[in-house]
Amino acid sequence: MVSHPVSKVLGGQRQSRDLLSRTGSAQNDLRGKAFGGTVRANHESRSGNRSLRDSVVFSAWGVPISIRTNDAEIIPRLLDHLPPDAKPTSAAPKRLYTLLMATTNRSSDPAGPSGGAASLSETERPANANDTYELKAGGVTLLKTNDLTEVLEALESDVQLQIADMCEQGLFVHAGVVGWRGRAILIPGLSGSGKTTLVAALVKAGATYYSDEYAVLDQDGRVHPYARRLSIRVAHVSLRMRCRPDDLGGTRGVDPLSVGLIAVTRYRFGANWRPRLLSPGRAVLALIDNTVSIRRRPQSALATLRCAVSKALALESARGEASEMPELLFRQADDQRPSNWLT
Amino acid sequence: MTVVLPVARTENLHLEQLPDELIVYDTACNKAHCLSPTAASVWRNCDGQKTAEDISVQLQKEGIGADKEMVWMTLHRLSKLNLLAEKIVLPQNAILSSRRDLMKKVAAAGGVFVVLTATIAAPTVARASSGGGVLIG
Repeated sequence: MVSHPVSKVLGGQRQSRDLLSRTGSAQNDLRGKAFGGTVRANHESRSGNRSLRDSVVFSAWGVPISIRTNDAEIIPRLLDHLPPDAKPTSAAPKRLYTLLMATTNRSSDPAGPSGGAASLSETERPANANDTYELKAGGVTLLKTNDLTEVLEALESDVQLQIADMCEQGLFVHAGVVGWRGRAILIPGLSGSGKTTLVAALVKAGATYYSDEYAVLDQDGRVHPYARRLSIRVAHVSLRMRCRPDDLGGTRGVDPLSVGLIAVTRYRFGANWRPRLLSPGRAVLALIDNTVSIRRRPQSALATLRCAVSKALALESARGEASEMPELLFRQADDQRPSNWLT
Repeated sequence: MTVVLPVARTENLHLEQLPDELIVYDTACNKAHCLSPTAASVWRNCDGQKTAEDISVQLQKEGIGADKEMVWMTLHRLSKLNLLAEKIVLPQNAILSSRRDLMKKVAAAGGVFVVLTATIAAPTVARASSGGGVLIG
């Protein structure tokens, strides 16, 4: 297990959000082995005060991505932020990122200015207030910051979004997904709607974790796992905790599932779950609202969504605390109406 | 008196038929519409050959209890959604019932499909990630 110290607030900005990275050194080692051969020296190009020597080239869901950096020390942490099921590839990348690190006053002490090197793992890189990170995609700056965690999370977020848009193998719908008794429960929704919290509650209550970010639908409307680490917002503070489903006592789904229940919901303080039935058409609209590539390929997306809702019960309601929801949703999923929802 | 023969628009539209409803995706403005069975049937019968009364007769044959007034209301809605080849202007006295009575007619004809149409603006890539969609109508 790798523990990252909370970075100091810099210039009055927010604290590092990565309180506890639970991927552990074991997972980093696994990824390191998988990617070791492709973390390669690149043609040198001058950028800042270091040259871009190292790159990670991978493919996820059929979309090849390249990330180049001038700081080899951050590669292990970068690997930790790749999308699930990322694999090395030699295909020409469809998206090129550069992650540049510049420092104006690097400490000569390898432990960094904070000292205490003996307590840090080899993958740990001491924070240095004079390090600046710039993330670019296609030559356009996406983010410039002193916070390595922030830039890695921004990279992860953008990579995910690009894959979701460019993927031809599946249709990415922004949604939380769990498996329950052989069917999927889909929770479409925007960031901040509370779906990760709800997914975590469902996993703790016995559902199988599929994703807290995307429902990846195949052309038959089945959901495939996109089992990234859950990103759970810590109450009342602008921090997120990354954790795996087994940290919640749950398991990760493997097989694709047909959709049994679509719960269109968002957290509202004090709300009671009073669902109204959605017609298949309204369920499709709710999914369209969260489909990343709907504008790029509407025809195939509509066909996929039609399949996805064809045997699903769709409900809509605000909800209260996530801890109250598993029993309610499991009961709805178990007590489904016949596939013809009118009867 | 001008006879209105509505024509359904066909260009830049992707259709997906559900068991009862019809999803229409308009690529010209990136909006997705869900048409109830009544609205879908009215739209399908907009072939440039039928008047509102003719469409009403056809719907009765299909088992949809929509009178001429309801057809006019649906045509007006479809026109506003830009799903007709040309905008239509409601003739005077086309709709005489109150709004409440019209809603009752819609419910009676549509059963559980109490809403004739629902529309959503399709999200951009960035917005699909951050959310914030608005259901229009």
